Amino acid sequence: MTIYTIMHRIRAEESGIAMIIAVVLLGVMATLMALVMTVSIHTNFATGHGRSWVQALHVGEAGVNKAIAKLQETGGSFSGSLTGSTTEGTYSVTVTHQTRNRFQIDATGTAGGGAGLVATRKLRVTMAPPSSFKYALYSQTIVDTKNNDLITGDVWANQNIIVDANDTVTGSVTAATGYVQVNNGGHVTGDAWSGGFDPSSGQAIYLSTNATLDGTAKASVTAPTDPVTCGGENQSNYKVRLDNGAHIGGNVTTWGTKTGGGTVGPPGIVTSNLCTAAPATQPMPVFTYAPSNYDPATLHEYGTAATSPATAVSDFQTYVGAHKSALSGTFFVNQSGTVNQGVRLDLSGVTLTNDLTIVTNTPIFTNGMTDNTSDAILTLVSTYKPPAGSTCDLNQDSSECTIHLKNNFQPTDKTAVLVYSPYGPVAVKNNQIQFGAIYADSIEIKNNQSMTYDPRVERVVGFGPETATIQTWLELAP
Amino acid sequence: MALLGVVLGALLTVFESVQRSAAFVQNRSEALDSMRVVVDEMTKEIRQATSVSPSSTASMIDMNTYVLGISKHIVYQASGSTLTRSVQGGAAVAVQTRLTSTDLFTYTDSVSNVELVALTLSVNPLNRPDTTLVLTSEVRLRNRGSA
Repeated sequence: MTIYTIMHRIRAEESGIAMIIAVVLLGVMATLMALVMTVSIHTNFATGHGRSWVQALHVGEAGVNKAIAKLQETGGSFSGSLTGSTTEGTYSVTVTHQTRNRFQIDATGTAGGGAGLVATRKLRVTMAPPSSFKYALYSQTIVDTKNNDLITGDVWANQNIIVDANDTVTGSVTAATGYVQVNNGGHVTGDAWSGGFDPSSGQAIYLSTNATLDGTAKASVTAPTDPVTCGGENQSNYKVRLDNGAHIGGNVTTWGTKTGGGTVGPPGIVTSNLCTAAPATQPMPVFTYAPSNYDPATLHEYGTAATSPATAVSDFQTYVGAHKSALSGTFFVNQSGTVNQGVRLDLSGVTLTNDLTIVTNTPIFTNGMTDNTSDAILTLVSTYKPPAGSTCDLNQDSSECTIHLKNNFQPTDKTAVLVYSPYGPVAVKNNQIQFGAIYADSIEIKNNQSMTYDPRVERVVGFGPETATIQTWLELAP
Repeated sequence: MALLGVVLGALLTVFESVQRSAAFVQNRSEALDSMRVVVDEMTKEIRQATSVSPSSTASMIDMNTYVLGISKHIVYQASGSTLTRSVQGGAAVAVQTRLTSTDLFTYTDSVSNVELVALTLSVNPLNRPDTTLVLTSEVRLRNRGSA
C-alpha cells in the first residue's frame, strides 16, 4: 500500500468501514446461526419426544404381553404386580381378577431419557372369555316359533326359520342354507336372508297373509359357482312370495322372482334373477369343561370328565332338594350308563340366587323355575344326544328334548339365561319370560314366550377356542 | 459514500432474506408440531375404535372409540383445507388447517370391514404454499367388534 492510498482513505474518512462491515456480517451470521440452532434444537427435541412417545406404547404392550404369558403359565391364577424392561424402556404391570373369569391388566410403559424426553403411557387391557353368543336364538338346523311369541334379538339357523302366526321377532332372521317363512300376522322388524328354499313350494322367503318384514328380503344361493347361472340353480325355487296383506318395507333381492299380491316398499326396489351368495353356515360354539374355570368353593362335581358315577343324577337331585330355595354355584354331572328322560336333571321349583352353571350329559327338565338375584347368569349345558329317530314334543314332558323348559320358567331380567344344547333340541313352552340366548341343534318355542337377547351371555367361560381373549384395549391417562 | 450504499444495500438484502427464512423455518416447525399432535391423537383414537361406520370416506372417519377409557363417538372430517373433530355429535372443532388434500384415510380390508386405517396428513406451512409437509401413520384397530 502506498503512502498515497493511505492518505486518500484518511482524507475520505473510510478507515473504519471494513470493521463495520465485518461486525454487521458477523451479526447477521450470528442471528442466522441462532435461528438455525433454535429450530434444530426444537426439532430434535420434538423428534426425540415423539420417539419416546411411540416407544412407551411398545414398552407398555410388552408389559401386557408379559402379563398374558404369566396368566397362561399359571392357568389364570396369577394376580398382582410385575415389572420388566425392554431395550426401549421399562414397564410395570398390575393384574386384577374380576368376576366371571375376567382379568384387568394395567400396564405403564416408560421410555426415553433426559429432561423432557421421558414419555409414559398407560394401557388397560381387559381379558374375557371369547365372544361366542350374539344371537337370541341359534340353531344348527331349524328354528320354529309358535303362538304369540316375542323374540327380541337376531335369529340364526343353519337351515330354516319359521316365524309362526302372530309372533314377533325384533331383529333380523337368517336361514343360511334354508328358507324363511313368516306366517299369518307374523312380524320381523329387521332383515330376512335365506340361502336355500322350501322344496315343497319353491319358495325361499314366504310371508303369509298380513305378515310383515320391516327390513330387506334377500334370497341367495348357497355357494354359487358362478354369478351368471348361479351354479345352475333353478330360479323357480327362489321365489319371494308375499300373500295378500303381506308387506316388505325394504328392498327385495332374489335369484328368483317376487310373487303374490303382497306389497314392497316404498320405495321398495325388487331385483329379480340376481345371483347373490348365501352367508356361510355358522358353527355352534365349542364348549370345553375345565374345573379350573370355576370357583372351587362353589364347584360341585358328580363325576369328572373321565369318570361317570351311577349316582351322579340322584346325588345332584339330593343336593337340589336341600337347596331348592337358594341354588347357585357350578355343577358338573356326568352320569354313567345309558342316560334318557328317566335319568335327567329336574330343576322344577328351584329359585336361583346367584350365578348358576350346570353341565351334564343328561337331559335337563324344568317345570317352573324362578330367581331372586340382582345380577346373575344361569348357564345350562347339556351334551345329551336323543336317540336317532326320536322326537321332541313340546306337549310331552318325557319326549326326547335335550333341554325342556316348561310352564312359567320366569327368571327376571336380573338373570341372563344361556341354554346350550349342541346335539339335541331345546323346547320352550308356556309363558316363559327369558333374557339371554338359546343355542341348540334345533329350537321349538310355543305359547306366549318372551325371549330377549341379553349381552351378558355373549362371553361365558368354557365356550370358544380359548379361555380368555382380549376384550378391550384402552389407553388411559398416565 | 457510493460504496457504503452498495454495502448497506447488500446487508439489507441479507437481512430481509434471513428474516424470511426465519419466518419460514418457524412456520414449518409450528406446522410440524401441530401435525404431530393431530396424528398422535387420531392414531390413538383410531387404534381404540370398536367400530368404523361404513359411511366413512377418504376425507371422513366416523367411529366409536374410547377417550381415556370412556366410550365416545368421534368424527374427523376434512373439508377444504380444514380438518375438524366432533365428539358425541357436538360441534366440529378445527384441529388442523392448511390441508393440501382432504384424502386422509385409507381402509383395509374395506370401509365395511375395517382392520387397518392408513392415515396421511398433508399440510402447507404458512407463508410457503409451495412446500408440503406430510406425516403418515398406519393403525390397526385393537377393539374391533368388542363394543
